[in-house]
Amino acid sequence: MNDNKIKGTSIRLSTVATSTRRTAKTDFGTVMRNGLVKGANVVSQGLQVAAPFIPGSAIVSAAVAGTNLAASFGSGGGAGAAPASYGSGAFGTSVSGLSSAGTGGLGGAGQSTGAGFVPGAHNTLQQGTAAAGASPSDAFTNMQSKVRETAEFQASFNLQYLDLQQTIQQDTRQFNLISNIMKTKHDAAKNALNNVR
Amino acid sequence: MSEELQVSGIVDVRQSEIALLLEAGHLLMEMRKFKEAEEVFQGVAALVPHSEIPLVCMGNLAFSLGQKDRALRFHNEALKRVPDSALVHAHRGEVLIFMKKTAEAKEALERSLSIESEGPTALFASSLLDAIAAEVL
Repeated sequence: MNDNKIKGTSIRLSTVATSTRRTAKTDFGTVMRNGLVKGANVVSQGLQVAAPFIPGSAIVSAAVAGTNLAASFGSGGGAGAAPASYGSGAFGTSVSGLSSAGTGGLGGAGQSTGAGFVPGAHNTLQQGTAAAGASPSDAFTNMQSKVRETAEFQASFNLQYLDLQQTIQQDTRQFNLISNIMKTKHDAAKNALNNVR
Repeated sequence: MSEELQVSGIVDVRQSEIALLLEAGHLLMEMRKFKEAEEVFQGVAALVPHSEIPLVCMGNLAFSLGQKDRALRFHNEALKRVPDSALVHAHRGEVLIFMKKTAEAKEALERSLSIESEGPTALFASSLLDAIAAEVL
């Protein structure tokens, strides 16, 4: 008797195409990353809106623009070729892209800590302008020049505002003088009409 | 009951009626009925030939139409009637200011103030002098 024989069964072929199972990424790293990216976007949008209304707005605008640049690099995934591929093995493409874009190699830190894309993102945000090829001293010089430009703009604005105030005061004086002339002329005519001799 | 003042002209006319006619002329002027206003002023000027007021009114009418030379002629004619009229000097000064004859205008206004240093006419002359000083006009 053959034990290998399958009793009462026939071989059936399944014709349903198989597909890779896709589950929602709910691991800690992905959730943390999504939360931080959303938070950073909200903060940067808020700063963009508020930038024109605060002193040194040019600097804030530049900083916010740098942040956006970094964020776009990060969300792109794989902007830095070699580090991106290195990081994709650990956290997935997006996380590795975020960490690799700004620093070009901090994906390793993320890999070892599990939630380590946070320092990567931080560095990305801070060095948004550095990613464009400027050194920190250049950035500082750039900031200084922006501060100087802002101060000059404010001084110019103050002068223009003073000029406007003086013009309005001059116009007000002229208006009052002419108004007074017309009133006194009317009074004089009225008085003359009633005193014809 | 006090008797109403009479103005002696061609005929005796009550002062209130003269004032009414001149006010009617001014109202017509405000209504931009310049021809009718001029007729009224001319009538009053004929009615009281010794008074400078109707001529000043005609000068004002011409001035409001932008006819400065004509206005000045009316004021000069009024001055012939009453040479020491502060009102005429003040209005003459006003016209001269707009004719860019500032020195003459200043002289006329100061003359007006010297004749009458208080009252509505003096205030008018003073305001014109202030305008000259401030270079507004």
